[in-house]
Amino acid sequence: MTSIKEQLISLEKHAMSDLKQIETEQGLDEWRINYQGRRNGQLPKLLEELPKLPIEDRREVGIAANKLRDTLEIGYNERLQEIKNSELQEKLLEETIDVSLPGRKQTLGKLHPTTQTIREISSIFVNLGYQIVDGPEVESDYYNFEALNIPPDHPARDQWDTLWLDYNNEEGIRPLLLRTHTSPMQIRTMENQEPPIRVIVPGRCYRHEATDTTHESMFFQIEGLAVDKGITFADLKGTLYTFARKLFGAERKIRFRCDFFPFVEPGVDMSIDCFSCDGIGCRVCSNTGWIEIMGAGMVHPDVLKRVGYDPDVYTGFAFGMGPERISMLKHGIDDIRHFYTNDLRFLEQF
Amino acid sequence: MVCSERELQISDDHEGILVLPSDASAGISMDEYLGDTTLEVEATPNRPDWLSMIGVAWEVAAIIGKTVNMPNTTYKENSKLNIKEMDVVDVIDANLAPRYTTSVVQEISADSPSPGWMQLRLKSAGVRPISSVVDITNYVMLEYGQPLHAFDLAKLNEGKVIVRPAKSGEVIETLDGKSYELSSADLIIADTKGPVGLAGVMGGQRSEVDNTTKEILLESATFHFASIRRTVQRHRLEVAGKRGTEASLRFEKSLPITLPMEALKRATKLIVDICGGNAVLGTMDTNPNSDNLSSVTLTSSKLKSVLGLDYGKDQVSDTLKSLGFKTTTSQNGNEYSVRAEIPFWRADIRIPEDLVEEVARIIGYDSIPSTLPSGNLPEALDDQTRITKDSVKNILVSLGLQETISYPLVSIETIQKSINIPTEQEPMRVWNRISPDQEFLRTTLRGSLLNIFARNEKVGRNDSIKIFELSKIYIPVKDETPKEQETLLGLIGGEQSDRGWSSESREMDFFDGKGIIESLLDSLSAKPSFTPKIDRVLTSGRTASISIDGQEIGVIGEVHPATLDAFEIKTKRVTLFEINVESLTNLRKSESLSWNPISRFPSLVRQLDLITDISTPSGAVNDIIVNFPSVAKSTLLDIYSGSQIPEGRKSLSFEVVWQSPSRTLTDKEVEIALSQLLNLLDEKTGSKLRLE
Repeated sequence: MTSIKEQLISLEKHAMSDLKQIETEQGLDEWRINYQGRRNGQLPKLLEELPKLPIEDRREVGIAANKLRDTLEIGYNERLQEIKNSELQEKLLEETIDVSLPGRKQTLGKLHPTTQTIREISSIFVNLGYQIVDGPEVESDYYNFEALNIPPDHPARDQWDTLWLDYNNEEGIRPLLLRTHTSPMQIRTMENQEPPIRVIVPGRCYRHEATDTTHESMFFQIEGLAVDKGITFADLKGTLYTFARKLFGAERKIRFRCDFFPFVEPGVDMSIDCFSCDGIGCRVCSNTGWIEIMGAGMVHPDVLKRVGYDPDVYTGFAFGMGPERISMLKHGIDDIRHFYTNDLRFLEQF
Repeated sequence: MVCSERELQISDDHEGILVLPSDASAGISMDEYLGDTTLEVEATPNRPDWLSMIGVAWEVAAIIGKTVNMPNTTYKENSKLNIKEMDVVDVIDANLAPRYTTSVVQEISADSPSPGWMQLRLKSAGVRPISSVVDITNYVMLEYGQPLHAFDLAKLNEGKVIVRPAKSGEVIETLDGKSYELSSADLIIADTKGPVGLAGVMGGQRSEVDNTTKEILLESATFHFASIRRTVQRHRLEVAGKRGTEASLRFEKSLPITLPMEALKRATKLIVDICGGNAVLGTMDTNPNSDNLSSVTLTSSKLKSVLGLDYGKDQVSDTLKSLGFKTTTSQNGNEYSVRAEIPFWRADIRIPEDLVEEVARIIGYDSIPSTLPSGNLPEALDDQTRITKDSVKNILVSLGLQETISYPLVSIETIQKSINIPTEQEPMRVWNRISPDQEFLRTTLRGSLLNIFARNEKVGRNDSIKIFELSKIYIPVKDETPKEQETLLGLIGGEQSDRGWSSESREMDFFDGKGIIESLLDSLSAKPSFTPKIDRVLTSGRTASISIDGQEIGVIGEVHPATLDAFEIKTKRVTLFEINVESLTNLRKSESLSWNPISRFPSLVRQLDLITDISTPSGAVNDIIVNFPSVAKSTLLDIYSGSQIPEGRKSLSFEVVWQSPSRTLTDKEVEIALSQLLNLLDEKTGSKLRLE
């Protein structure tokens, strides 16, 4: 009896040690047949002796034999899994690729940098409750100049070299022009809407101008206008401060200085401290520490009167900036003429 | 080392070395002798006083908290003669010359140069010294901002100036030796013989002061800004390449009417001091009342409503005083007001808001707090056009196209070479074009993008170009402003994908463009149909009109080789698409938000091989199949013509998915449906089942 028990222990020892040497599924099957095969398997063979044992020992040996059967089965399954894993591993290894090869690219186009800048700026003002509006590029002298306090022969007209359209009306006057700024939309908006007014107007403008690194004959502007009861210069400051921090970073400082635009009073220009040198002075800010961003001011009472608003009841502010200039500052572009030459080597970088 | 003035950067004079006047003692530093710091001032159009020393001095004084010593204007009138008895002035046009003041100095010596200090100051201000009398008038112009002119009284016929409009055809020879033929719109100074000066612009040669001049008539006047401006424009007057003269530049900015007498007295004093002579008693003034200064009143409530801040009565008053205003203040309950008398050199102060600016800019805008408007916001706009434009751009970019933005002004050739049907009216032309390349407002985007395509090819882009622009075109309308119409134009050409280790490349064609259009319109839930179309600049046979619900919204086609040649494009196959964005906007508006429930029932797939006439559009066949009841999907797998197919016929193979939303279809049902579909296809398109 003892010998059967001992034989079971020795069988387990041999079987498990054999199992470790097996590397293939076929070998594993052979191993199973060798130990567990119904006909000649070592374990069934051993158990043939079982009926010969005294009745009282049979139970004990039977339990040990069942336990061994389970152990062999678990061992078989574990080893099978290990072998499968290593075969998969080998197969995957063969499929190793050079991950540094370029990917199969889905080409993505890019929005024009001006579009990108206009969207970025617009979204800041939309979040402040502004509407985005659009207006005609072919304008009349009235909207582009006269309604904005720039009558004929006004010296301020020299600030806007105008492209006039070759069209004479019945009085022999040439009344149509390509708008020189987006400010005519101040008038059109106030004519079409009731306060409260909050609009921004991104759009094309034109000047009769020789082009150079900072001047284009066609460019964009973004105009802003807010008119309501109780709007003050402090509100203008706060609005543009919020804008500048959102666009150029939370640490930016702003500065207002006196400037002249006939349709605002007071008129100012707004600068931010240079984001390139933090105000110390560098090439970006021409060593001044400050970068001019836009013109602004409180809507002139005469302009309000002209559109039928009582300047003792309503006040407002207006501002205007050039998205190309802002784009140039942000990306370090040195020549505005890159924008509308449409060289893909330039456009695809943004 | 001896240097010229230009080398020392004092002036542009490079004729010889700088010879200092005799009052310069040897051994002192140049800076100390010149005694000045040069301030460069950017004068805005509303501040002609910043073109004067007095104007800048008051500004600086207000900023640094000092006071201004005004120039001395008192002089002795040695002559017994009274100017009133001399009859030296006759102003005929008081509208164009609202104020004309004059003085006369006799027995002067005009043959020595002006003193060294004056010459140096003139040079620092960029004015070339000429002679004592001319230098004095220039000097006073720089001091006061008021241009003056000195006439040699002896050279004036009958010793008198007449201020009048020119007679048409009159000619004046100006001091710079040029001559101008005048019209009745020009204001001139004349004597009884004819013009002796172009009012407010330049003096004439005939009355010029020279070394022998003994008796001068000094003029200090106000001329109408618009008249001066128009005269300068009409005669294209320029000095040293700059538009206008120092005098006209100032007059055009509308000088204060309070200025001439002050400047006249100052100039007369300097003439007497420097050139000697006897000043005739009194001055002539055509409008003496204008010396009364006007005033503007600023209230605390106005200040607060504009700035959102109140500095208080004293600070407001003191700030205005520091700029030369004379103020009187008054209190009324919580309100105060400051009445400010406008200094004679300022012409820009008219309304209380002007005073608000004076106060705020001198105290500094930093003093004002930053707040946000507190009122209600306007309602959000129903801005479909903009939303459509934005989403069209987003989709095209995601499909691999690059956005361009080009000049709306183009040459007439660019339009003519690329437009299908010219608009009824000529495109709108710019009257003062910058160049022939930017002369007409484009009525098509085609030419602009074809030019961009060509330009990029020229700089070496030769694999593929996929570009689009969404911009306005300008359709001329008789006697009105043009209709500005948002239009989309795309151009694609070259290889379909980047050449590389893993991809096979092929030439892009019509169908790559069509795929873009289909994806774009799919995103707007629109089902376009494409039907053959003739377009002058596109290849016939490879061009289609794009329509939605029977309405044409655009065109797509391969650009005609002749057009490619005309734009010097080398790529053989370039596909163009053009869509009216307004019709897309309307589509967005009508877009319904319905959806189709997902069927729970299994689908059956059948292959349908048809044989049809070679000219039958496959789109028409496909339309019938997809719209047939219980057809969930139809895919055209293959088109074939050639051997095994009769000549003039082609075979079309579709994979058709059958599915019902409400029940499981049986084989039998599908077979019946299929035969009905085949009857319909035969009837509508003459397509039959292809039998092996």
